[in-house]
Order: sequence, then structure tokens, then C-alpha cells
Amino acid sequence: MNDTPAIIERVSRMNEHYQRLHLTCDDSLNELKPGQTVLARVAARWDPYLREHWWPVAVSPNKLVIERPASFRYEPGQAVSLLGIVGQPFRYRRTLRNVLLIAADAAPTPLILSIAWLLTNRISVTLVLSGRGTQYPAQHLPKEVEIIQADEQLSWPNRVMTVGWADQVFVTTAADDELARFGQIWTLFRELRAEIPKGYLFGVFQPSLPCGVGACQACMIPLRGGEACLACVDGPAIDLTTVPLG
Amino acid sequence: MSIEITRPGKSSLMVDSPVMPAAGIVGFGDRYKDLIKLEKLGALVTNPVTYQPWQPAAGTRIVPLDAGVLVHTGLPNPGLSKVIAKHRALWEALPIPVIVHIAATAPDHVRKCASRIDAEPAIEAMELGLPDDLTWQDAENFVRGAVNNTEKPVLVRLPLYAPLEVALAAADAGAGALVIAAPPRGTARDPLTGRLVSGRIYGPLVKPLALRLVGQFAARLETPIIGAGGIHSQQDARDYLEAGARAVQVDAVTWVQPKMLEYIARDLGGLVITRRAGALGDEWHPGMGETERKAREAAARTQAEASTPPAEENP
Repeated sequence: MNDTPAIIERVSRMNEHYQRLHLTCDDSLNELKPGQTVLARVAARWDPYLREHWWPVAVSPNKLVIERPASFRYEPGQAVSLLGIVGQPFRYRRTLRNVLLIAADAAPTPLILSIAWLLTNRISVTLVLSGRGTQYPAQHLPKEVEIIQADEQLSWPNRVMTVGWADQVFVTTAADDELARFGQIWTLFRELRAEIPKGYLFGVFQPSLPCGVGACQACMIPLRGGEACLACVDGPAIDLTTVPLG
Repeated sequence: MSIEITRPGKSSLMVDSPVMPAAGIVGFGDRYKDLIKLEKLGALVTNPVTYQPWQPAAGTRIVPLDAGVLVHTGLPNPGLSKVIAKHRALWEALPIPVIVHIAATAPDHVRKCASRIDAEPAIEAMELGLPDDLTWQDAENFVRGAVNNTEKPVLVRLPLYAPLEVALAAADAGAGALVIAAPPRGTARDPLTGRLVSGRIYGPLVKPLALRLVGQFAARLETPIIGAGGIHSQQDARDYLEAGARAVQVDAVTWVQPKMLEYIARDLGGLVITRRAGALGDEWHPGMGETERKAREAAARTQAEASTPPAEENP
């Protein structure tokens, strides 16, 4: 974990909903992997107070590309302070062949960095977009990714086949009430599969992170058996079989 | 050089720096090791702990505010015994005293926590966080229950709007120091869910509220006071000391700018207790140089010349 400065070199608008920030930073963030994030402080003043939770969508030596909602304003040349690396990389199975990524009524931004890594390792990727996720400009994604537009009930043609075919599933959802929303996802998968094994269905949690190091405990997620984990330290991807979702 | 931040006695607490994190800010000492040099701090104040395990709060826990944040974690912790077992080795290796913050839930639990802390060599002191809206009799019961069950110093954190009689009751019951104050409680609407959420408020605006209380209580109480609330800069910390606090606790700025806690500790470390009445500014602020001393000398010369009667001229 480092507190490192960075500069926004370029701001590119993807569509009316999303923009990308091209950053130059020091090499402490070169090891950033899919699932890991940074906390950014963009101004010296106290409003906004907390750091913004930034999800990289591309990483190269001393370069980061961040995806943000277009409603936030950034300027080329702007200096920012980055606290990171936050969280653990996504944990993939060794015998992985097909991965299903689902953005349920949310931007797929937390899942995007994993796509390039999966394709490089000859793993096929299907991305399901539903609700607000359909606003995402999918033309920016590699052509090898199968993109499915689902309806707001997360229904799409051949859904049983898509789910049965996937070796692992990573789901991101709106941050308003994540446990309730992941509970709905869990219920859906219980209907679509006879069994949900451990390490199969992961929820990518995006709670507000005041500290990012596990000190404030605001991102604590209760687990089965009275245990708990921290989204900023143990997450963001948590195996939903371990979470009491009702 | 050490500073005594609790009442003098065989169990008083000595620290090397008057700066420490507030409860609930840096965890139990293992979270910020890459970002903050803990040895530069006066002490480590842990996250709040209860006698029995507590689960995290359900629903929204963070609501962003204008220049601040509302936090409602539910004080999740696995209970005092598990916390001690998990962190004992770390605390023993730390070069600074460890103060365990106990959330005062029930008088019986506070007594048991105090006994447990008394038997734990890795812990130097206990900080008792009093609940809001308590009477002075409640405060006295809680503090006496803690003090009677441990020989270690008991710091008592007061709610922000605690009246003077609560502070007097805590002091009379044997509090080693009073921490003024806990972050105030508030309610705000979560922009994501639209629900109203209650919790503790952190931000720069808390400082004037707590600073006023520190000034008032410092003038009336002999018990040492530790100022806490809204400290976001070195000057904020100095303001607390000037108002009468013997030490300060830094809170949420640590989440946003982790290095600030260390900067404040470095700035104030070891210098505060050398300050006497009339001490020069450069004894107070490191790096201030000789400017102020020269200005004072020049002013004194001018004043002396003005007050000296002119010499009589001989005819």
C-alpha cells in the first residue's frame, strides 16, 4: 500500500455516461491486477471528503486507465493522489475455460480489466449487461467478448445454457443495497443450477471505502458462521456461497 | 522526553508524543503499517471493542457529507478476548503504548473488560467510550466500575454534548484523563438508497465544537484533557493544546491523508512540554527560526526607550 502521486494526462469521453482518465503514475501500481483498485484524492480541499474509488480498466508500466461516470469532472494535467493497491485480485480456477461476467443494473467497470487478462490466457468471456449496465458503450470492448443485453429481470435467451456453460461467474451490481441485490442474484442462480459450488459465483462488492486498508471496518461483510470479511482487504470479489444471503 | 497524559500516580501513562489516533481510525495497529510510522505517535488507540462480539451494522454505513462523512459501522468486533488473542504479539512488539478502547455497553461488561485489560501486559491503558445521553450517575457507575477493576489508567471519552457534571462525575470517579470528545451523532440521507441514516460525523467542522468544550473544561477541571475531533492539520492540533489539552487524538483525516497523522505527530512530538508561559514561538513551532525572538527584542527595546525619561541637560 502506497500513497503515490499521479497526473491525468488525457480525458476521453466514451459516451454521454462514461469517460476514461489516462494517468501517469509511478511504478508502485504496475502490479495492479484484475479486481484491484485505487482510492483517489482529486483536490486539496475537503469537499468531496472521502477519496473516490477508482477501477482501472487498463494497466501498463507507469500508466493507468480509469473509467469514471461522465458526471464527474476532471482536467488534463490535474494532479491526483492515489492510495493503493486496494483489495485482492480475482481468484480464478486453474481449469478455467469460460467466464461469465454480469453487470446487473450497474456499470461493468469493475469487470473490464479482467477481460484482457482472460482473453490473453485463451479463456472465453461472456458479458451480460442489464438495466443501467446497458448504457455502457460495449463497442470499446474486444471483439472476442460475447456481449448479451439482458432485461431488467436479468433474463436473456438461452440463459440456462449460458450459466451452465460458465466455469466461473463474477457479478457486479448497483451499490445501493449490495447484499439485497446479491441475494436476488443468488436466488436466480439457485433456480438455474442444481448446485452452486464454492468458488463459482463471486459478487464484486463496491461499498464506500473511507480508508481502503481495513481500519475503519465500514466495508465489513458478514459471512456464514458468524465470521466477517472486509471488502477492501479480502475483496472486492467475495464467494457468494460464504455470504448469508437468505 | 516523556509527557504524562493522565493524572500523576503509580499508574500514570507516559507518552513520547502528544499525538495519537482516535478510536476507530487505525484499527488494531496492523492496518497502516505501510503508510504510517507508528513509532512516531504517542500511543495506539484501538478500534472500539466490546466484551462480547458485535456484528456489523446492516444497510448503509457511509454517507458522504459536504466536507465530511457520516459513519455507522455498528462497531463490529469479535469481543475483547479474541481481539487480545489476535493482536497480542503485535502490541508487544510496538514501541508505543497500546490503549484499548472499550465501548461502554453495560456496567458489568465494563468491569469484566477492565479486569481482562488489567491482566494483559501488552495493554498500557484503557479508554472508556461513554454512550451519548447518559446521566452523571451513569457516567460515575461506568468509570468507577472500570477504575475499581484495573490498576492501569482509564481514559474516559465523553460525548460531545456531555454537560460539565458528567465530566466532573467521570473525573471524581477516577478517570485518568478525559478525551473530549467523541464524534457527534447525526442523521443524513443516503444518496444511493434515499434512506435516512444515523451515525457519527467526521470532518473539519467538528473541531470548533470540540475545541470550545476543551477550553471550557480545561478551565474547570484538574484532570488532564485529550482533545479530539476534526483535527485536519498541524495547526488544528496546536489549537487544542493552546485551549488546554495535554494531548490530541486525530481522526478521519487519517483515512483521507494517512500521512497527516504522522506529520502532526512529528510537528508536535516532544516540543509541547517544553513550552512555558512566555516561551518563544520557535520553541513551539519547529523551523520558525529567530524572527519572532528578534521582533520581541526590538519591541522591548522600543518600549524601554519610550519609558525612559530624557536625561537632564546641564546648563
